[in-house]
Amino acid sequence: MGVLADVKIISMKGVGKCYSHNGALIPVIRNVDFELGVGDTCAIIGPSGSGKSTLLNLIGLLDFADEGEYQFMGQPVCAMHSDELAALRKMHIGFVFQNFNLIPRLSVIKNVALPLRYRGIDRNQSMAQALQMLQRVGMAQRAHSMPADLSGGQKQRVAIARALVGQPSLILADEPTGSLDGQTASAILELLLSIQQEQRVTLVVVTHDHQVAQLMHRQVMVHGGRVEEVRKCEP
Amino acid sequence: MRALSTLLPSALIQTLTEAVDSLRTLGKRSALALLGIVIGSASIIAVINIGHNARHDVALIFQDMGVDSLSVLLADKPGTQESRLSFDIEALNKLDLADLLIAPAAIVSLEAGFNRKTADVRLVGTLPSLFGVMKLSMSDGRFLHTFDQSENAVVLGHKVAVSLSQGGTRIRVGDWLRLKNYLFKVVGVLQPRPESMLSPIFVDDSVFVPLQGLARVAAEARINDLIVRIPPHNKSASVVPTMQDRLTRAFMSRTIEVITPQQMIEGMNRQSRTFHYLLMALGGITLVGGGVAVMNIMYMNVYERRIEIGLRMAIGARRHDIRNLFLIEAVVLSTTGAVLGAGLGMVLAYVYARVSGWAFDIAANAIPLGVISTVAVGVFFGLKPAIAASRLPPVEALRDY
Repeated sequence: MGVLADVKIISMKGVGKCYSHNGALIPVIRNVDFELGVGDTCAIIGPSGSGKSTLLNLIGLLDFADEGEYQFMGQPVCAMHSDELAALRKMHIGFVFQNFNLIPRLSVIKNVALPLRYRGIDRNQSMAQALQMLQRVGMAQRAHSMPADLSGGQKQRVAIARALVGQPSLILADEPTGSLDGQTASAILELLLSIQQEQRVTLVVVTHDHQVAQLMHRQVMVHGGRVEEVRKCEP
Repeated sequence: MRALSTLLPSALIQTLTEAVDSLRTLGKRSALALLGIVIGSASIIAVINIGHNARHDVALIFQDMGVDSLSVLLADKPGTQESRLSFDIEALNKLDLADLLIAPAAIVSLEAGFNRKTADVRLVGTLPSLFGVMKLSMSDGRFLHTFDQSENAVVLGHKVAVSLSQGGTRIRVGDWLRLKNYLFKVVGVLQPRPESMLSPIFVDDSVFVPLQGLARVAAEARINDLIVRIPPHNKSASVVPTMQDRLTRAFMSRTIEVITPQQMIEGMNRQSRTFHYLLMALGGITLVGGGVAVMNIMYMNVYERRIEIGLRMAIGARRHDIRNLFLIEAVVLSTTGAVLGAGLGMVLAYVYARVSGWAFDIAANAIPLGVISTVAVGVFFGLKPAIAASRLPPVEALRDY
């Protein structure tokens, strides 16, 4: 096994998260120990309200853990300032959402180039990189279309291109096929996995769909705020 | 846009383009907020320029007379017997005000005739000193002279000369003018001269005669006004009180009211200032109203773009990137409003000047002051929603309600 395989992208120890409701603290995630290495693929499954999305938000540095330790790419992140977390997200994390979350006023290519803009990359260069990524997801011919003119599957392809354009180390996908029909969902999943393999990027997918979960090396079940590994095989 | 790209960094161009796109998608709401800003900006700019033109006009009024002139009104004291012109002349001769240039004016309205033409004129009985005191200038002939005092000599104002010459023989120096049953020899015609607020004499509509000559045609005439010029070497603060004191003693049966240009300028300036402050307050209130509209639209904008804010944060935007995104939109909105308002304000000021009969002149500070204050209002009212957007937790922003 190479050195790269030993590097942990995600390392959580005893992580917990509570939400305040009517003055009472309600634990959503409790005592989570979880690790992911470079090139791993992992499905987070569980019933609605079990804390899957909260776990994904914690992994994606969008939310702060209330207890435990979390190291992202070897750096402890629990005490970091919001701007430092933003800098880590910018450089290392790509997000794919169930509702695509494309900005309706921006053309397809501008949506894809947006993460590069926050990296301070020159406009021409970022547009060139965005076009290259759109070619990879089969959407180059729609580069100057507006999101409203695209189908659901096309929007998700664009969203995948946006998540991958900055060559991140980690892709977090929250129900990426949840809004798509079966055939389109399969195509999107195939695309996501093929790019994951090409770029050896770590992929975490939150899903209700067991068929989707079966395609990942690892599956973790979130139930009542606790995380339990239900399947693990080597990539 | 290509020309712009050579001047501005591409990131700024992209931010500006996004801001314009965003405001365009808000449609009518952006237009309404813009309208408030335009009206506010236009009011401020119009008010500053109207104030400037009003001051300019006041300056023009006093330009001919000069601020070293003053006017004295002589009125009868209630219950006293009316004085006669001969008594007034006597009182004037006894007056010990050698330091001042004084010209009396006894004014009556009369019909003047030349050939078959007649005209209603203001007959002004005066002394030769009026020429220097009022800084008159001749178009033809000469002004009254001391040796004319017992003669039937007249000097015509420009409009009188024109109206008596219309459709017939042009009246010239040496012609005879009929006033009641007397004939007066025309010795001069004056240059046209704009009316002055300070002077009781409308030069163009007047015919000037020696005081004794006036007594012949209007026995009831009396000296109603004195025009006084203070020589440059005698500018002490005691000049006016001393003059008032001596005039009161000389004209026992009359009340003396001295009107100085400073008093008139101050009165007009006070009036102008009050009007100016009132309009500035109205402009300011409109501008603040526009600012509140900007704030409302920006809050609405933030609310509607919550998920976009969350997404931008997820892909690496820092808090200040989000704040700047919305702040730039507020600045674009208020700058557009300020520029449109500047144009509208100038048009309003021009129309106001034309309607008021003033010369139109652009006040140097009107546009910078109006535009800067409008943009500042936009930034002030846009800042709070922008900060609120930047403080949204990414998880909250991304939540699909």
